[in-house]
Amino acid sequence: MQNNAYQNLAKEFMDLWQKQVAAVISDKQFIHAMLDLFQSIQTPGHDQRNAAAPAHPAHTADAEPGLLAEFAFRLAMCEKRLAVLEQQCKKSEGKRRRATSGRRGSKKPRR
Amino acid sequence: MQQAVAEEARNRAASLLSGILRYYDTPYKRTVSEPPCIWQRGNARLLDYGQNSLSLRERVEMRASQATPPSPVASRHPLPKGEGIVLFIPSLINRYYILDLEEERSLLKFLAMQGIYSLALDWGEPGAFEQSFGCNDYITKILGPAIDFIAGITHGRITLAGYCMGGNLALAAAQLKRKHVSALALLATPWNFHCKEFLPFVIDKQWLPMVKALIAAQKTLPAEIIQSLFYMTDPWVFEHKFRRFADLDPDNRAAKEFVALERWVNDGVPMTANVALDCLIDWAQENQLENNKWQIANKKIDPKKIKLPTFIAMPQSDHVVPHDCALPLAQAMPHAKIIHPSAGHVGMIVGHKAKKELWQPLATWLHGI
Repeated sequence: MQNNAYQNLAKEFMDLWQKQVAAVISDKQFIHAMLDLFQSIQTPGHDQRNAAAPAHPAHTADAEPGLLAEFAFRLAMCEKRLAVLEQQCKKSEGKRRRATSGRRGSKKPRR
Repeated sequence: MQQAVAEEARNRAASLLSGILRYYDTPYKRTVSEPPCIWQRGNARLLDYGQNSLSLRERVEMRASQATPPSPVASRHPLPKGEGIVLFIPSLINRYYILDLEEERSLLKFLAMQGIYSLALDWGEPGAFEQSFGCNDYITKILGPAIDFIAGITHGRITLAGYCMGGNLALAAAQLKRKHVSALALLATPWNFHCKEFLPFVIDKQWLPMVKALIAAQKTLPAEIIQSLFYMTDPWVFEHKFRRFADLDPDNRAAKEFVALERWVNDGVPMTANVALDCLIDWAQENQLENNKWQIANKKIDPKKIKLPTFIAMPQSDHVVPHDCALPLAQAMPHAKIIHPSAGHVGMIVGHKAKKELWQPLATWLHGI
């Protein structure tokens, strides 16, 4: 029973994670970041001075630091989201453990 | 809990890989015989599915073509004189044979059995002739002449039936070739590209020059890129379907049908750069169709102006052309007969309910017009 409960929760977690990824991919900010990245790959650094006017204001000479900053920001956001998710997992696990031990004495749920 | 999540992730990945490997290991060859080609322009061919339509053939007067055929194959396959021919127009980015996938899963063969004389326009892959084509060229240099060719032989008007973006091409042709077209069927045809499902993919205008330049720099946009753009709207659809396939008994009919369909999905056609610009920029980004700004042969294409008998199929679970994307087209043609098959974009054509929910209603409508 315990195993099943965890398996069901794990399935639910994976489904939610997939939904989250799908939402991120169709997020305008993400799409713009990808376009930004794609443009920077398309534009070789040594040709940048001679290239025609860039389509996006971010693609000036300091495009690379800007891009790194964007990545750093996104990484930080991911870490933050992960921390929140872990926290929520721990909380719900604690609650479940307490509820289970209340019902079944001192027996601990298997992990 | 972490252990359970890790195990679930491992199971899903293993199931996905097993599905993919089994798909690659499953031999498949489409055994459907191809009907005769009666006309050709560039790589596009007009395929005659009416040859098997015996009941109609018995009713109509057969005669050899009086017109000068653009292709030498044409005169060998005269079409029946009079009205009643249906010309199927598929999308430019997928092969026409979804309309005739397998012997028992074939909309075109079903219609032939019902006495409906159908032709299918196989666009083929863009070659030297089509290299610079946009939608305007495909309509004016291939579809239009194909309609003229049919009308030249039959001396009758034809019904145009477009599937997916083929519906948009059919709609434009119906407006431009009024004299030769008697009715219009639009199957899962997109119209409003700024519907809620597609809105996130409408990028800020500042990016458009870069995207346009990227597309314009290509000779053609490979089918794989087009497919991956569709996956962006539902990135897990690939994982779900291959995991389901992994769970199927390989000898099961459903497994065989999956392979047949998936081979078609993976047999996409590249887009010319100009078609890609039309579809990805003018349609998807600027929503020209819905905004009444789409022009073919310097004429605005306006569904409100088309008063022909019209049949519209809007599948209920269409993720490629969502309901709200197709709806404004139906609203612009209030006289249209509208059906809502309980299937997806492709399932509507070849799924288990296709015969009951699309083929039969379409045949009934065609008999009635």
